[in-house]
Amino acid sequence: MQVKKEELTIDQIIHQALDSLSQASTVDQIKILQAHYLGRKGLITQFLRSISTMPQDMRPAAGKKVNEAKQVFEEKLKERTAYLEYLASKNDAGIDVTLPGRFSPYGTLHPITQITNEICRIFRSIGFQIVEGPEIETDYYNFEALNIPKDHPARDMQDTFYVSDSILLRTHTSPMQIRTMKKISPPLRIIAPGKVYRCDSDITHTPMFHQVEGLMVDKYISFADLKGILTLFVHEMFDPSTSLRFRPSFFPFTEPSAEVDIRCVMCKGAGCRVCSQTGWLEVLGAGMVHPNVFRNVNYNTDTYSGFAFGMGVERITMLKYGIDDIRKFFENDLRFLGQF
Amino acid sequence: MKVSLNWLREYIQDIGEVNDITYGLTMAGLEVESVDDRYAYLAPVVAGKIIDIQPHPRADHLTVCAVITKKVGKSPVQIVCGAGNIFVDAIVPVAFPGTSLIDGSVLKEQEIRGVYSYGMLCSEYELGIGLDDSGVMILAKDVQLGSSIKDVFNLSDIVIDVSITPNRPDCLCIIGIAREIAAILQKKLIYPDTFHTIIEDNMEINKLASVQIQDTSLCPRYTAKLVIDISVEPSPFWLQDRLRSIGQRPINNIVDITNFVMMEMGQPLHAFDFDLLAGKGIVVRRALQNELFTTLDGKQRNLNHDMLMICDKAKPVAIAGVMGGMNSEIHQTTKHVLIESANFNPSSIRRTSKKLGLTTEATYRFERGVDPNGTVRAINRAAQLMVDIAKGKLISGVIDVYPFPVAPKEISVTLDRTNSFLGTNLTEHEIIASLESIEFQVNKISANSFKVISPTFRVDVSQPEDIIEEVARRVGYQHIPVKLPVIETKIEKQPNLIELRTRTRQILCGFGFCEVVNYSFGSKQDCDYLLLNSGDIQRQVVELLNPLAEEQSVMRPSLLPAMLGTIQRNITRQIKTLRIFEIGHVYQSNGKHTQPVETEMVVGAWTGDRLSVPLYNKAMECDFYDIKGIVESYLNAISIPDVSFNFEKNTGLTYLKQGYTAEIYSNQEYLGVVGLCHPMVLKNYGIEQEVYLFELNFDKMDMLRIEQKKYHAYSKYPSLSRDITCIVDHSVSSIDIVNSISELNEPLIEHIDIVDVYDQPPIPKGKKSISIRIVYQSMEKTLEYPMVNPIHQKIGLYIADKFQALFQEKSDSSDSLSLNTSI
Repeated sequence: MQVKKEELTIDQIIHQALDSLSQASTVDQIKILQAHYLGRKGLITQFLRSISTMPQDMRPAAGKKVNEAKQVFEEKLKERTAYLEYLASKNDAGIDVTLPGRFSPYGTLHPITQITNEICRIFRSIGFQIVEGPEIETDYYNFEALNIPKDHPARDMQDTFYVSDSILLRTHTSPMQIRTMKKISPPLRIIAPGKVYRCDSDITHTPMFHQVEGLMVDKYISFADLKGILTLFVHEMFDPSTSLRFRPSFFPFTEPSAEVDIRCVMCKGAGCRVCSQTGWLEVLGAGMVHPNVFRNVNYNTDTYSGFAFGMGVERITMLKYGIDDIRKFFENDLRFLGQF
Repeated sequence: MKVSLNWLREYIQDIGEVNDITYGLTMAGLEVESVDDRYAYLAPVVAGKIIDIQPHPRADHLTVCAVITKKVGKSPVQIVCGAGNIFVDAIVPVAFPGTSLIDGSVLKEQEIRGVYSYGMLCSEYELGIGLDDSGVMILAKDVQLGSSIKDVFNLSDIVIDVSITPNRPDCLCIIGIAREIAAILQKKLIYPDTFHTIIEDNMEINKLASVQIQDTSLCPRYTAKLVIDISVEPSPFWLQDRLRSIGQRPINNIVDITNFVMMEMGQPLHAFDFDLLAGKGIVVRRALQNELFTTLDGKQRNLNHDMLMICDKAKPVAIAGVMGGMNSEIHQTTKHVLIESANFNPSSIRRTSKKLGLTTEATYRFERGVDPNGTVRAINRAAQLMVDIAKGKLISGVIDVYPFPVAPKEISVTLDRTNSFLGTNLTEHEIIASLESIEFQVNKISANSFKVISPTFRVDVSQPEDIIEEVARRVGYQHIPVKLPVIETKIEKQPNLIELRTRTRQILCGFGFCEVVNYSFGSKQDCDYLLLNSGDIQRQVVELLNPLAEEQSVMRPSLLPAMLGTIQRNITRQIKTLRIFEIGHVYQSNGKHTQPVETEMVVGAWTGDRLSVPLYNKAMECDFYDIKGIVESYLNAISIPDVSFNFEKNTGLTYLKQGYTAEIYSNQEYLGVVGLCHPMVLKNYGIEQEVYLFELNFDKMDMLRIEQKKYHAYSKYPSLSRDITCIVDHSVSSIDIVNSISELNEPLIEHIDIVDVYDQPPIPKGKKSISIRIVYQSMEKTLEYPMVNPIHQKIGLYIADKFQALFQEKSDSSDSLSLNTSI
């Protein structure tokens, strides 16, 4: 870059400057160029200074021209710098981003909680209110008021843990039907999630499990409405194409009573181990509230009717996630919990 | 209840396809649990030909046969046989190892006195297709070799296992199920004939025997009949076969007949050896307190006054409706039989059965309810069979004590109510037809209403809804439409506790805590394991009367034991870093006969590493401040006001280690604790690493939390930070210094942080250096040092005075105010 500045016009200087700039391959080279042309003793700076020695009438035109040229150079210089910086950044070796992040808290909700929440969410969205109550109940709320008298074989349907003759671990969340109806007049729509207990422990039963029970009471509630609400629920919970089957059954506190089967979610009805080759899975118990239950809470059976339903949360969770052993829920192995 | 298709054919002609029956039953509320081919076990037993018979070298009564089971190919099979009736060229049934025989045993390849036998030649008894066990069954000459015995005799029967709900005792018999099937298939039900042909006219039962009921509430009806000159023998094959087909064991003809009729009609019967009845009379009375009685199974039973007994004139002979006694059992030598066909109070039978721990086919039916009007038909059927099979003679007449006959119930239902209850549009005709198909009578009263007469075997039917249920069942639930109710629009507020629980779960999950759910049960030992003081309220545990195991014998008084158990289990599975929490109830007894107090708690535990990623975490284990930080943030996030941590010692907390534990308060209200689990407690639960815990009372937090948040204005001017570093006694709590400064209520103090604590040299032993950063901020203007300095100095002097604090130069922060000891 050995040039004789006196001999050069501003056009030549700029041409030269831009040429050098386009050849500069590092930010450092640009800095040198910047000093060479724009520095205190830079060529452009000197040229600017030399204008004052020009004849008066030439000064404005020359000044304008130099300033314009300077501006162009400065812009190009910025551009080139940005470009070279960008290129340089590409060559930065950087860090090993495959290493794990430092703080990785990852808590999970128990699958039973998640499915209970999901069930509650669905029913809340159609106006059901959540109610909760004691897990250790009286015989009255757990059995008597639900039309399960003492010495009735229906008591065999639920193996009960007793604290004393009159106090027991609730075998279902149905006592909340009675507790709620004793407090609130119809119409009402409630669901009662919670822990329940039965004196039973094997590969398919744990002595504690979770239930969600529902109750709807109003004028003109019919069995067809029960079918409607549960169909809605199953379609939301599983899949809108899931078929349902209502079968007559028996629960002392409902009449007519039904068991609700859904098309096996595993084999879609073809028959598999999960559905014992039947193509159907029993997921809900339900029925119209028995008149004796209404009488026990002083509801007028001529004016009001209602339905109740109940489901085991473990069962639904197992189907949703493909879990094959109910005991896994309560072993709380982190390798299990971490999956949900 | 098992039913055999062949048996059902006795009552329904052209019964049709098994699938139609099983589907129909299931959809009628009689759920079919299994369908089995009764003769499947005979499929592998094939016809074979004996081609050679040689004497057994070491046993005179045995022979060694060579048998072929295929016409061509396959070498003969060697089978050792003990029967005398075999001959060369005989075609016989051959069973191979793996075949199940009628007695339940599975055939094995075996060595019989030094000679291997690779199969068995079977008698018809062994095959379960006849009674002859005198020798090997000889098949017809033209039976094709290799064909299955099942096919040779065209044996086919299907056994359907039907689950009967407690409300349907009428279906605990073949006819009851046949009645339903007939209705489903729209066929006619044919009842068995009970017409008697042989009657000893010259004798009348009332002259020979008597029945007296002392307690008609427990025994509403007792019917008896007498059959004389019977001979007790094994039952004929058809009878044994019927019983076997549904899993019953044949005993002798008299007992088999009573069982057969019970299975057929649902009425339990009992046969007494009439000669063993003292005074030739039956007395039905309550048992005496502590009366002893030996039942048929040979066990002595201790009775009480609530139990009903069948007695003769001198002694008890049966526990009514439960089991007969040894003392009047039918024997080989029994000549005359008194048949009992009675009706007993369901609750009483159930109580007795429970008390004695004795459940029989009879109790199962009586406790559910047996048709009180069915005793005579059943006893006639049994008597008829005893005449036919046991060659007995029937004494004319019947003793039938039935003081208050039960009339069929009349129930009024309307068409409108039925349709509105079900959501259907059934016609009058459809309703009547569905009810009549299962033997209900329907009388039309008006255009809209009917009077329905329910048969007395339907003990479950008593009110209109029962009738509507029958209509629904018969119509089929699948034919009831699917509708959605029109409901009132309203918003129901979610209970606060549920919101709090949801929020808690979200927050703790965000902190990396996994939710666990443990059983609500605990062990009686847990209180000791937690080192609880003898007077600790948590020791008032709720005990179960019938626990499944010792470790599940009480309702847990604390969530900690299960939490520690979970940690221990995970550690043994090599998961040593855990952050877990549980929300659940703890239970505290309130006396045996009142409901216990249930308190909802949240417990969290952190053990192992601080960070889950080992790379950044070289041997950094979690400590007290990690878990305390979680608790602080959590309580802040759920808006618990004025939270304070109390570090006083001797608070009575036993399961956490003193000096590493804080009690948590909100406005003086005790919320719970946070701290290091006591090493002895950890040892009790088999844990060898430190576990930090928090335990908070959920119900209290729900009460205390601020529901409505309020906005507080904040300054738009920059703040100014000044530090104070002082040396105080080791025993001074940092929080006390911070609180003291707060208490000065300097309006410019925005907040106060502890930024450093140091107790290593050059800090003298027994002392520590604490650095406190005070952030000053004004709502009105930008602060400058001259405005803050006097306040900061005042605070410094105040601390120096209150905590005997010494100040040291701190040069690393330009903002820091240098206070030296001379101030």
